[in-house]
Amino acid sequence: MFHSERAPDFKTVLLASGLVLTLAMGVRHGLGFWLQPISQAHGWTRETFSLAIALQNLMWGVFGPFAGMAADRYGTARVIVIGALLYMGGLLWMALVDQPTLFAVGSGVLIGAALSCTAFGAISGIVGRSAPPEKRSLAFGISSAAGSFGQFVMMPVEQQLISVTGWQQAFYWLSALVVLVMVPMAFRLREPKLVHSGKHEQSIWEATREAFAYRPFQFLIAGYFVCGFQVVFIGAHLPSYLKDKGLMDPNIAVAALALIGLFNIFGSYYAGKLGGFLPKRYLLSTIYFSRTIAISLFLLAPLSSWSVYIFSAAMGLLWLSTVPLTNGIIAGIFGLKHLSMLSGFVFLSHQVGSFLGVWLGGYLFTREGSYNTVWMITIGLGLFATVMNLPVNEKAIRRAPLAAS
Amino acid sequence: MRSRHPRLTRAAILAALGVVLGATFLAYLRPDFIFDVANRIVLCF
Repeated sequence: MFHSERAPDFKTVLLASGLVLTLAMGVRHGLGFWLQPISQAHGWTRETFSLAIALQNLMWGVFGPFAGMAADRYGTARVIVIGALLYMGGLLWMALVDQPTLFAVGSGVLIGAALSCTAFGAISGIVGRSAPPEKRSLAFGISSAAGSFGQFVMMPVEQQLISVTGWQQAFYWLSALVVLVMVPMAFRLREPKLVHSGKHEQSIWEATREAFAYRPFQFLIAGYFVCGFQVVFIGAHLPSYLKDKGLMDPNIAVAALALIGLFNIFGSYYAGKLGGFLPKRYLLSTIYFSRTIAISLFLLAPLSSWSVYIFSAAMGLLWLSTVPLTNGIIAGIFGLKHLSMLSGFVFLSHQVGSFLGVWLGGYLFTREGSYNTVWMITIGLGLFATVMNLPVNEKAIRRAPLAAS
Repeated sequence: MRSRHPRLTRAAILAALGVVLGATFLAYLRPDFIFDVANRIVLCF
């Protein structure tokens, strides 16, 4: 049922995986719109909903390597179908459960696990396998752009859905949409059954051990941590920062979010495209350095609506542009057999960074009454990631010949 | 299935994408959207 006679062609993989990514990334991106209606309907504080979202992000990272292992071993199609069902379960859970702890834990685990099965990590394996080597980086760029497109487009869609149908019905519609789109797309991604060559093939444990002992992989993990920290700190705290600095007009904060979302699509695509013919480590370094410059200039320049717009457009270009390059380097070094799992491990570090970015932003603001310290940490981490990515050796790892088992 | 006019197809896809992106950007600037975002404290990045 989950295998086909021949592998899907490159265009089919891009289209089907792009649609899955668009929905997976898009739906979760707009979940914040339910904060108020759910909290009001159940008489909760905002903490319950915030905890659910924080748990989703952490669980997405924690389940990532396991979903990747499953995708590498049993095929991406099967993992996406499971992910779609989990996504549906998570959305229905959010619609129906009115006990706060059950709500937070259940939706956190279900949607976090669903994302690990339907977003970048799990998908990267099949995208890498279907793309000719010279187009692999571009393929990762297109996938990332599809995810970015979903984030940009689904926010207004979800907001309208709640306005028109009500918050509970909106969950039902979305859960139906997720299953009706993702499951057929998963079937377009079916691959032939793996045939063992008889030679000893690298096991999951051997691949994990090899990667974690390899210095460039450690550098990538460190860099991706910074990516998560910066992106989520800015995404979550920029509106509060603007308000704190006297830019009270919500139009400015919303236009900033829209600009980040719009430019993110182009940044993801072109990063992948450039990665096809320029060293990816230098591109990654340049991205982190450019973020550092953009943040520094934003803080040093007099704050105005235009400085916010320019900063948002610049950060949008640099937002998810690290994804195709990081996945491209992993594929180049370790090959495609365990790509989804290894991407999952690196992404776990991204999610830990995300969690710290959003938490530390709030914690330091409460303690010090300003975002100054956390901005300084963000700049320092940017410089750290700039340096960390420079020595990454992108060449395929040399393995000692393995004895036949 | 290959298109007979790949350039036209490409231009049509890009135009459609431009329309979707433009319309979405304008949707962000609708007053009810701004009101909803302004009332959020959790942004799901």
